Amino acid sequence: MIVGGSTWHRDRRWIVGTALVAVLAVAAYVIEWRDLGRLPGGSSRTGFVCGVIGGLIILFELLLWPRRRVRSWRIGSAQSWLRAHVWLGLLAVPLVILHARLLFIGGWLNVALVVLFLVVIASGIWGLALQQFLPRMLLEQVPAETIREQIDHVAAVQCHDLERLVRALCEPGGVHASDGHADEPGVEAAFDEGDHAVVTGYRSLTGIQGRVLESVPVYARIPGTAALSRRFFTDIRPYLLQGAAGGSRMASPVDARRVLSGLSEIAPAEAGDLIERIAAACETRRQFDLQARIHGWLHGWLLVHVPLSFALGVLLAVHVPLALWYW
Amino acid sequence: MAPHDTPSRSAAIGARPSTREQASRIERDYYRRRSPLAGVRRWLGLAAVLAGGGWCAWAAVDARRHVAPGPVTAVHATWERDCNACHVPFSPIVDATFWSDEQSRAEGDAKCLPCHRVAAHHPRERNAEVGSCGSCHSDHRGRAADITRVADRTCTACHADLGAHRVAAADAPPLSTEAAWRIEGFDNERHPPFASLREDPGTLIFTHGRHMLPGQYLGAASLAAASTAIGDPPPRSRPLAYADLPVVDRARYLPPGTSLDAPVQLSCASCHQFGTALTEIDVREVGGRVAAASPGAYALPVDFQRHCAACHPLPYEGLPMADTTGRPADPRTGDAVDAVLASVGADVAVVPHGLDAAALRRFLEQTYLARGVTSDPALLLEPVVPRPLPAAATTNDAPTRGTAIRDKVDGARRFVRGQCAKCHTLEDVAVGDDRAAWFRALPSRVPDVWLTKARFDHQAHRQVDCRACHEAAYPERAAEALEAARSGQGVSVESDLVLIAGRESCVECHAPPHQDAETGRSVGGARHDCVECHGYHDRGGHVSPWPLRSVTADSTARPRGEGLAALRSRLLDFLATPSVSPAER
Repeated sequence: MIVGGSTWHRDRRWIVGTALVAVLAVAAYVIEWRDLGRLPGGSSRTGFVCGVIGGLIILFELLLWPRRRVRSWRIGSAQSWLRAHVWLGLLAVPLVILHARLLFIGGWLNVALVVLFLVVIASGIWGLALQQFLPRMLLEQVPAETIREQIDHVAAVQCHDLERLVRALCEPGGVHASDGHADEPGVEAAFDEGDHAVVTGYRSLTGIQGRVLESVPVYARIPGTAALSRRFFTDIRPYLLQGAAGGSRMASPVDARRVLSGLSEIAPAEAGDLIERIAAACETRRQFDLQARIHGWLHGWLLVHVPLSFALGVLLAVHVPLALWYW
Repeated sequence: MAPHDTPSRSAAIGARPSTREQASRIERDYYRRRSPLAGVRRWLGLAAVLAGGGWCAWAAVDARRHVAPGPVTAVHATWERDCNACHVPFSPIVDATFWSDEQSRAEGDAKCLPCHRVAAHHPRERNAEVGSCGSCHSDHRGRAADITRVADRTCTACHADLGAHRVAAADAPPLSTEAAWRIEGFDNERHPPFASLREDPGTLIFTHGRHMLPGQYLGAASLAAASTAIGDPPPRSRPLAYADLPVVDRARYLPPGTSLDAPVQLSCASCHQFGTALTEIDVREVGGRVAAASPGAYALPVDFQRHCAACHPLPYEGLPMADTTGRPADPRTGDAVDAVLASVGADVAVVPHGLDAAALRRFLEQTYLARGVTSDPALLLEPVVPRPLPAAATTNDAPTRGTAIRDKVDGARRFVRGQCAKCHTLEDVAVGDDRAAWFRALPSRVPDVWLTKARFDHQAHRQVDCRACHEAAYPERAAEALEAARSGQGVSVESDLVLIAGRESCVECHAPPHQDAETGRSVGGARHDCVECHGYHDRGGHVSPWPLRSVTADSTARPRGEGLAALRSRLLDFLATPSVSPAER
């Protein structure tokens, strides 16, 4: 959720409301503190009210999960829920702290509850902070963005397309056996079994998923491209498939540029377009890697926030009756 | 251009995929498969729920560790694992919360009362404003916590405006000046002066200042200016010396290495003793408040036999009487006083202290009767003279032994009256049909404990010099007091002064640390919360269930011996019967 921007007027309302309630709670707490002559605890009037409101807020926060899971629930928009989730969650902080007698509490259950709550809040604030600039970074630096879970698949498809192009245009480099190539135009190329028969750039795709038979104009191989072919299969292809995780030097833009410059030097001029295509594919793969990293930051905090909030809910469910029992 | 290098190939190689082509690379059913991240999140969530549930199960088993906000105080440690020993389920243990009412308070207090049988604070307090036990005494603050130390707020909630917090009653007496103060803390502005120090309830005539002088001597010049007003001490012609004291008392008063001829120098400890442990006799003699206090908290009551008799032996014979008051004939002559001094330390017959009028008469009569019998044992062998017939005239006008004894008794009565009048306020009392002016001393009413509304522990203040709080008892003030008495200003005698410093003295130390504006030195720091000095239940026990009394007041001395009763009755009969001459027998 981006705070500010076009939705600033909505966020402003929440900020004002949250601040107002927090100030009122603190004022009431200070007044009761003066009256009692000691720090009011959770069973005092102010502490009790803060605890009840804080608990209800925590309950509401937990409801975000089923709200997102069951998308048919049209109880407010998802954005409104998220906005309420964020600001009410922040409001819960002073309320819970007041309820917990400014954190001067005892009992392991209470301490665990407060610790969990603070960690959940901290992780949420961290996630909110990340959401203010990482999406823009993604937008600006990853124009080739795709679905995160499809990165490997898309990269594989891309690599396959490029591989077919290299096989079609380059002399065999001894790394992969050639797959029969006609020297005359008009002859249909042989297709490998199971290949996704899309050779980008040859013709428009129909968008049909699956194996497609297509006529492939046959071009003669470019002489003097054996080294290029070899380099493609040894260095570039693994990078296109595995990305930076493979440890390839192509992951570094500087090294990749050096490699491709070297290819330009050893390959004939006719292979210039092919080399550019390879460079573009490497750049796409690099963007995919960046996208994966950004995605990890953008969503990794949820591995802390969500599970701990479940644990928080369980402890809260036990804390309420116990606290009322030994009031 | 090579035959295989056609423009279409170059264009085709260099073309970027369209967004449609890019989108076509995505598997259409990708959303059916959970992302790895989501899968991890799910398992972590499950683990967190299980961990939370496990923690709660542990908490249910070990509630003391998990639920209690802290260890209970040491005296409650026995019940630490039994929360229901103090808590009523779903009932608040404190007042300042919701659903706290009389019933919840009663239920909660019922847990405390079996061990803590405490009385209400005041008969006129409002029940609805009385908090539950747990409201003031909050536990779970650790083993070493003192849960009897409550915040000032619990006291000042009512005492800041006591009139508004009393039960209204037609017969309720008006609030005293001190009680009507807006008490909000302990300083000169927010706490009233100590009411019990307002005036001296005692009837004793005693001058501390003079007794603290060397030899208790005001000086030769004072002889000329001595007052003859009743109650003023008679002047001395010389200081009292240690040699003048009875031998048995010299060891107690004589400092090591001091000459017997040196003037007697009394100190506070000469009369005011702080027993670290009350002996059996002390417990019988002191009031309940002193006996119940910690050792050394209060001074033992001043006892005549222990603290006064060494210098004031109470002889009943010795000085010529000039008037019916029994005072020496001429206080301006040193001879009269010297005679008294001569009786000090001498083995003279003394009157037991504390006798009432009837007992004094009995004592004197028995004494002289016994002397008479001792000096003339044959008296007992004389037959009892038969009583003459009612109409018979008594012709024997000769003085009888009984008359002589009566005269002796009368003289002693007047002398003893003068002795008693030195320190006591007397009132005339009729004893039987005796028309003589017998008397009794009014109860001294010297409080065993002066601060009736607070605790005070001298032991806790042992590092403070006596003069800090009892400056008025020292000789420098004695002259001022006498001067004030003569000039008729203020109090008549030092006896009416309360020689205990009040609130202003306490506030110097029992205040937040600060710098004294006048001297610039750091003062304060001692505790100054309400409970440091005051109690709550039964008004802190400050109003002792026993009447305040001292050992020397209202005590009735026993006759010398029950064995003399028979002799007494016979001798009295003898005295009542006029002697008959041998010729009439």
